[in-house]
Amino acid sequence: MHAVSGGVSGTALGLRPSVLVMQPTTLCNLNCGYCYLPDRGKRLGMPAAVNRAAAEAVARWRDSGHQVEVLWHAGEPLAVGVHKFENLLADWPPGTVHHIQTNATLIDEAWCDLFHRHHVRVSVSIDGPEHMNSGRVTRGGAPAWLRITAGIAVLRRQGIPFHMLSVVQDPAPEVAQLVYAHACDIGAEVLGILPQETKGTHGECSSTRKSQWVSFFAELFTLWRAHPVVRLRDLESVANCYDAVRSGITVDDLLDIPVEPIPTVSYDGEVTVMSPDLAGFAHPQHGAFTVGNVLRHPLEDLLSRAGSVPWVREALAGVDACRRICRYAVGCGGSWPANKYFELGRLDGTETNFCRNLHQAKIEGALSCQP
Amino acid sequence: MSTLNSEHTSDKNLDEVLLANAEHFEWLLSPMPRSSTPPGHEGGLVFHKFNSMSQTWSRSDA
Repeated sequence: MHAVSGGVSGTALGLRPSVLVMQPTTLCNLNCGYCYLPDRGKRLGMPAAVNRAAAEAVARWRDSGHQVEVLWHAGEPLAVGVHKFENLLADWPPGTVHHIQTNATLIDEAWCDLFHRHHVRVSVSIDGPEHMNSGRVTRGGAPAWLRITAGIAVLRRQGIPFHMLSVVQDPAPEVAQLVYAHACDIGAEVLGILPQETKGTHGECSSTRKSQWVSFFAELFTLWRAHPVVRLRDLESVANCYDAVRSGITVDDLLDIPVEPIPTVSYDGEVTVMSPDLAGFAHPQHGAFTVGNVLRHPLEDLLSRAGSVPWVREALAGVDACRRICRYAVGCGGSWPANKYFELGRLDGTETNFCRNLHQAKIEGALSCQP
Repeated sequence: MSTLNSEHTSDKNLDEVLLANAEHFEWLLSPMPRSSTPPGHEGGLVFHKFNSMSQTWSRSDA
């Protein structure tokens, strides 16, 4: 039996997350052209009380036998400084698995020492070779490339394994070749691909088509099959889906599976669920995308009541609709409310360009690979 | 190779298409370390939930 937070739709929100997203600061020291974060130019830091409230919830889950991993994201986490970040980590239960998504520009030996001591798993945002990073610039508008590669060089010197997350704008097969070769060159352990999205403060629509993305993923997966050096997150998700189906999961079973809550704790303690990318934004009718604040209520209580919050109810109805009508639902799970909201203007919508260009395209790309 | 876009599979859900192309997936995924997953409900891994953050099915208990 799953613990769930019900809504009016048939799909419910899970109560015990696998991952908790933390926003230690809104600030990012870069100002990338495609970034969607609303307050990335402001230095709004997370007070110790907010961090402690989230850590205590994770400790209670751990005491009940449930492990929650933590992802520091939604800004540039390293912008808080290594000393303050060390203090934040000190409040978490020993053994907590911490992940960090970073632009790498601030990584130095002191940060690597912290990564070593706390076993932090690092993911670096870098799109490919230099010319693919032209939109990644400092606050003064200067290219960030040299600073990104300098940070990666420190990671490599210090023997810290890292993942590479690439935002791709042009899904040409040659770009797949460049990105995979670059991931191999810089020594990434895992490569993840994100099509450039219409999301948050980045409202520009992509003109790319699903067929282009199918070819992109087919090329990427074919390269990996011939030279399996860097793990591909997107092919592994296809593999997990395939394994799930082989174990007997069907699209009907999906209807009973609670939605991963992915609680995101913003710098000020407000909690968003289902998609970290909704944090800091507001719906014209429902108001801010929050289910409450960890400074006023335990995180477990907020999740248990989240299913009755109007915007969450609407988002759950969207998941339910996807799971009932979309033939790809067993591959993507039907969630992704931020993409629905920013592309379609509603949380209870279904298919988006993001669905077509990522979730659908990677599966069809896998099917299209040729020996 | 049949795909979800192919005319003759247009009425199939993804789970059916994946199973219909099992041989292809076994070839494609063969370099990848994977847990053995016998088909059918008996004796195989149990997939409890869908983790939409990392886009994978989770093998761990929810």
